Amino acid sequence: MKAELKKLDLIFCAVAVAAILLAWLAAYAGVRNPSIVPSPWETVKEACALMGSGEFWRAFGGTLLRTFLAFVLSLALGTTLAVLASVHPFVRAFLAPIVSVLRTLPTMAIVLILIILTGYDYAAVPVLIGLLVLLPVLYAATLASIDEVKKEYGMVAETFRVPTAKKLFCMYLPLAAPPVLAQTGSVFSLGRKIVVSGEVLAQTAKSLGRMMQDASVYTAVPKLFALTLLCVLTGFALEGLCALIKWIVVRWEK
Amino acid sequence: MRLNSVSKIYGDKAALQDLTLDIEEGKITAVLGESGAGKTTLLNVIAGNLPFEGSVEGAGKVSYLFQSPKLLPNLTVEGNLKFVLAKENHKNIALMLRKVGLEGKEKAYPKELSGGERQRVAIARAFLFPHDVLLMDEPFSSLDLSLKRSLLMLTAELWREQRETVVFVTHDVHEAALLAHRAVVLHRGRICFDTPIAGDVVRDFFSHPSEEDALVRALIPE
Repeated sequence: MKAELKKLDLIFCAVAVAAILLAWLAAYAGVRNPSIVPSPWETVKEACALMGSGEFWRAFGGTLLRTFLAFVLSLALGTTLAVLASVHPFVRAFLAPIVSVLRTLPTMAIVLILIILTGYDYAAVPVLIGLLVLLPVLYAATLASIDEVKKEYGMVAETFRVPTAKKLFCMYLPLAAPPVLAQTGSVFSLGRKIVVSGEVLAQTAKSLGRMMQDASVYTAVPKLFALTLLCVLTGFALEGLCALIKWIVVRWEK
Repeated sequence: MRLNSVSKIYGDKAALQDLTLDIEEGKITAVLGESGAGKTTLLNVIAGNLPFEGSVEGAGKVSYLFQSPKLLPNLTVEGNLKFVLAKENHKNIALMLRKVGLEGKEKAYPKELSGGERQRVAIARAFLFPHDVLLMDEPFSSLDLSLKRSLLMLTAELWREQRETVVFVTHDVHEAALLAHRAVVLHRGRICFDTPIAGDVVRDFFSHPSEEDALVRALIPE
């Protein structure tokens, strides 16, 4: 039964990919102008050429590093704040409106403000915007997980008078981790999307965002499509990597 | 241990009303009553998990056997016991695991254990944790009959070794008759019946396990 469901999932997945390709081909045939909508094979050819260039890999590495930095900073800060909020109701109440404001901030407006505030530090802007967008997501996810753990096992720790550090490192953090780790892949992808947007607007050197912006300025549409395609494909690879990390870290759920 | 005029009110519902109760040291006191009678609230008051009116004297250090095992899924059997124990008590883990029949399962995660084995770990945890009073909140209620029998006997066996003060909440009069020296019945947060239970049944009466088993079977029939 399980194997059959997996097979069905794979079939539907293949159908979805085929549908996207068909839509692309339809757009290509409809527009009939490769400098506006390039064909999939042209795009793949361009993507292969890009993968052979050092410029692409330097940009890819730069964007990945900035995304990773934004993600790690938001995870560390989000987890710390969530732990504090779970312990002190005042911290929770204090953070609630701040998190709501961060969640509703228009990304592009903040990029522009950050460019001015950071004294035109074009490398820092994408990291900061990534941090501002990811922080409320990771804070909320971690806090919800900790609340769940507290509901289920808090009484055990309280009744047996378990010391705070032991509670935190043996109970709250390990048990709150799986639901947060399950979201890591999509949060990381969201982070990369935001960082690339920040790079486009801030014109960050050695970045995918800058390469995309240049391709757009020089109307190198196949290159723009190829960069987008490579972003999507590497995004899938990174989400897979996150799932693998969760599988390795959370041994007891297997 | 003595509870003096203890009251606990949730909203407009009184879970415990001006309840005064002496719990005899070294004995098992069963607290019976229908759902909502205040049994679990009484345990939480003794454990100090709830604010309440009145006072509890002489509860000391409390251990707890919950209705469900409540084992941390990320820790092994040994890890779950170490989680509640101070370092100096870790040396007792191996012996306790042997007593509850879980020798060789030290490194197993709760997910790898059966329901009965998980409850055995919870029993081991409750008895291992250094305490003055053991609180048991319907720990056998969700088990099938054969498992209930074997875990009742295991609990009786462990109690016989330590002869500790136990408050045992149950809604099953048979369980109370098997384990307790005294039955206190709660109704709407008040004591409506309080009686000693004649004879020392499973607790310490039988010299041979087969006799004990026969009685357990008689009181908890198929």
